Amino acid sequence: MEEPLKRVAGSPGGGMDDAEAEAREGDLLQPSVGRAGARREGPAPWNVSSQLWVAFFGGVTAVTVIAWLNARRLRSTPGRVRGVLGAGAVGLAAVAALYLTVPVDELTWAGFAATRPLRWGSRIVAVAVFLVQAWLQKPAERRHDMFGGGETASLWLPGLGATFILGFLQPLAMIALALAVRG
Amino acid sequence: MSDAAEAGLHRAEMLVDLGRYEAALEALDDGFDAERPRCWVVRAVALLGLERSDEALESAHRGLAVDAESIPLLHVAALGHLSRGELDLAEESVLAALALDAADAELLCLYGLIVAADGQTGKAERLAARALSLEPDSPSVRHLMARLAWARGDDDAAAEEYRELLAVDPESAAGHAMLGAVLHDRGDAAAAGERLSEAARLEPASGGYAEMARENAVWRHWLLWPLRPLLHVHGGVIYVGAMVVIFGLMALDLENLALLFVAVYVPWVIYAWVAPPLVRRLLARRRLG
Repeated sequence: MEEPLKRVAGSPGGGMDDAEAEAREGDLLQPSVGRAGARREGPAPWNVSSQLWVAFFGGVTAVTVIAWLNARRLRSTPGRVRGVLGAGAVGLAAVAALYLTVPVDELTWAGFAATRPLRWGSRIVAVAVFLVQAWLQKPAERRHDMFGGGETASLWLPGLGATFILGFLQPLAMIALALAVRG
Repeated sequence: MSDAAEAGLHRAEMLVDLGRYEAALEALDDGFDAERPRCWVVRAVALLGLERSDEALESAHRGLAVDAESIPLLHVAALGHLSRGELDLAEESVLAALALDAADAELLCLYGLIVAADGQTGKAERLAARALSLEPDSPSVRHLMARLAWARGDDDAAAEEYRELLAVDPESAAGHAMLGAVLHDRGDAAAAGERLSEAARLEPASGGYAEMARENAVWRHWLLWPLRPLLHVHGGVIYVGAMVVIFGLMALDLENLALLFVAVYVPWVIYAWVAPPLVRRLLARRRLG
């Protein structure tokens, strides 16, 4: 805060003509924030670490949806946003492969509930997917923490919603897919 | 301006330098001259220091109505807009100041903060490099470079920049605190604790540094030694690793070993949930006692 006062008191701010000319060159001192959408509008991002619980209880689809929305809130690069979706797709493929290992007569909701390896396997895959998606969101999260104020929104409602809705729909979809593939 | 008013203004400037913003505002009340940009600068800086951004911004704009080319007022206006998240207006103010003095390292650093907040870290790095070439010993430049290094995930570079900052400004509470945070992230809790305690000592009024030091003390407590791996590795990685071990042992028909592993892992997980809040309460009671 003292810098503006020192300037008022007459401390020299420069006088290096070569540096001044060089600084004026190029686009370094051209406005660029206006093009990107200046105000920090839009909802605050969620805490990336908290997405672990969505993965653990809700599965791959739930955590991928939350991570994708969060990557956009954090203004991650398009490559990393696509990476989040890609990790989710790979995870879903792995979960689908697990379902194909289950005997056909156990491909029911009751069978799913009873098949511990299937549930635990899906959970392990979901947490592994979360780790990749967290790594992809990390640079944007750090940037938000350091330069964007660091505020986060509560993940409770959207997390619970994704966990219950998508956590319920994913196994059903996987069972249907496995049955369709097995004929 | 009368001698008394001039003395009041001078006293207010000294109080702002000492961080005593409320007292500065009171001193300024003695003979505030609305036609003098310097009065508006002091008022705006003091209000920013008290985190009264809206009033600070108003003061800056009122001062700019008197002197539109006052670099300090443009600087404060940019800071005020930045604190409100109005990045385009912050950029407008800082570029107006840079148009008057493009070789001002502090302004270049401020512009770097603004574009970094907008996600333009590449441009922020170039601005920081330009500012560094102009004033390599400026704490603001080192601070910006450290923040950019941390934001891009380069903890080693961030730690090095914070050490450079502290070499130039050993009394920088923010420098000690941020270096402590970086060291804590790298798992070096003991070294982090020293830095955070120093930050809290240098700026006792800042509750944030004291809170960081207290949290670090929690994680260095002997009761949390079994949880030290969590300082280095994400809990999710430990979970996946544990599941791989358990299911791997079961697949190898080593079920007894798998059960033994579960018997160790599950209590450890429960301990990781329960122990940190308990240690926090224990240390809080000791401080009060």
